[in-house]
Amino acid sequence: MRDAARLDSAAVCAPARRGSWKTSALRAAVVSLLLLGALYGWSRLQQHATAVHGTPLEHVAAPAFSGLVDTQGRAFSWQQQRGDAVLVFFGYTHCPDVCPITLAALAQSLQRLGPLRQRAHVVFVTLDPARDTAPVLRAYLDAFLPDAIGLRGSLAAVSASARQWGVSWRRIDTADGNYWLDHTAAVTLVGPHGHLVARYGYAQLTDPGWLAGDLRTVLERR
Amino acid sequence: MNGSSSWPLAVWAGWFALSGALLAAYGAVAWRRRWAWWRVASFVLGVALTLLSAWGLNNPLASMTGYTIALMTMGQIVSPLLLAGFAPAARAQWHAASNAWWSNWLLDAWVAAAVFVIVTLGVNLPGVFNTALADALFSGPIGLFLLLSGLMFWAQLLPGSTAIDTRWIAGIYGWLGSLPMMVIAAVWVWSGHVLYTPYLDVLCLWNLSPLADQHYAGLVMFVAGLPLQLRAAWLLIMPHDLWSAQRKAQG
Repeated sequence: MRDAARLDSAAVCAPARRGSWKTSALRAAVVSLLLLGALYGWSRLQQHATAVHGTPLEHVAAPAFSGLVDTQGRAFSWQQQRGDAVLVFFGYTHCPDVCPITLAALAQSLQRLGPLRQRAHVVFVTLDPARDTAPVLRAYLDAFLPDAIGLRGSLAAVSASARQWGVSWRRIDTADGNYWLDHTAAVTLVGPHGHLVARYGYAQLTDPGWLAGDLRTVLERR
Repeated sequence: MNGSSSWPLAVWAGWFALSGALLAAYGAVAWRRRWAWWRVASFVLGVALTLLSAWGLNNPLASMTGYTIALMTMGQIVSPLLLAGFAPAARAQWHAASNAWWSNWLLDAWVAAAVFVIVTLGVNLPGVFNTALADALFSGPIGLFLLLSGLMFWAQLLPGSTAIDTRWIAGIYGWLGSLPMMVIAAVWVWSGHVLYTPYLDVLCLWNLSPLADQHYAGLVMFVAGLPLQLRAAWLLIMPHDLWSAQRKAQG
């Protein structure tokens, strides 16, 4: 096929219709303002997709903690948490590093919330119910976050719950007859309506302002 | 528990429908005007790459490098390929009075530069970038934004569609326009921190760490900016091409 248009230099060379540079500058200014407004709106006016510092999760209802009870022996209910933000973390009290560091990081973030602090809660689910009795679990959490809810249950119930929350873990037996647990160290944020919002790995908790900012966004968006 | 979901079927259908409609409309015009085979091939390749880019856009959280490849392909590869699908004479007709309602805006060099720079910088601000990571549905319009801004800017660097009279000014225009992209690429490549925190807890494709993923994404942006820089250099350095012939003819 011959490129007929290439021969049509007269058409190609027809000068583009243009106004003055002032008209062009005015057009550019108008478009720039509209575009900047659109980008600002884009980043602010989303209803469902809140941009967070954590890794966003699909907007689904948070799994129930079936078969688990708190340190007072009461069952946990998401209904009672409506209107509040909840941070869920699976760990164990004998954890040498990740669990205490994560709980300390959560405490730092929560401290920054001011009056909203009362509407943010931590749920700590022990993966080691054999050693983490209710008193042990309570004493451990009191050292970091006295208002944190500690949940425990049978090994089967804990396993089922961990699976639902995307937490994997395995027992590592040590030579001295002891054991430790290798587990997913992620904190999951549940919004005021009981839906998953985001997940935070340890690297996403290094700046306490990030999680605090996300909690504020989630709580103020109600 | 999954991360932010990828696109539903309806969005995919929209992309395919849009691409199909573009291709059909172009095919009819190209056949009637008997455009050169390589122009048709260029346009078809552009449409094919649009669909491939859509694949990269549908799950931005999977890999920053993959997401950047998709965005850059849309803005810097697809745009010139689609434009090259039209003969210069056809592109010149876009400035005709009957098209003034859109060409006065979309083919204005000032407007094109403003849109290109703002979109390039804007979509990479964490507040905007993270929206697509929060919900993959937001990556579709961002991709289309980049395609549109790329088309507008590249149109100023090609004979026929340009509103810039002087070849060397067009060269400088193209070079200056590419700078914001190069700056962002440099920040991504040399930053010691992960700039988009949602990637921090993600096991990226190819087992890259989030920081390495960001560095590769910066490299991708550098490479994707090369065609624009080469075109700008061509306009500045090379003495003769269709553009010069046009100017001569214009007298």
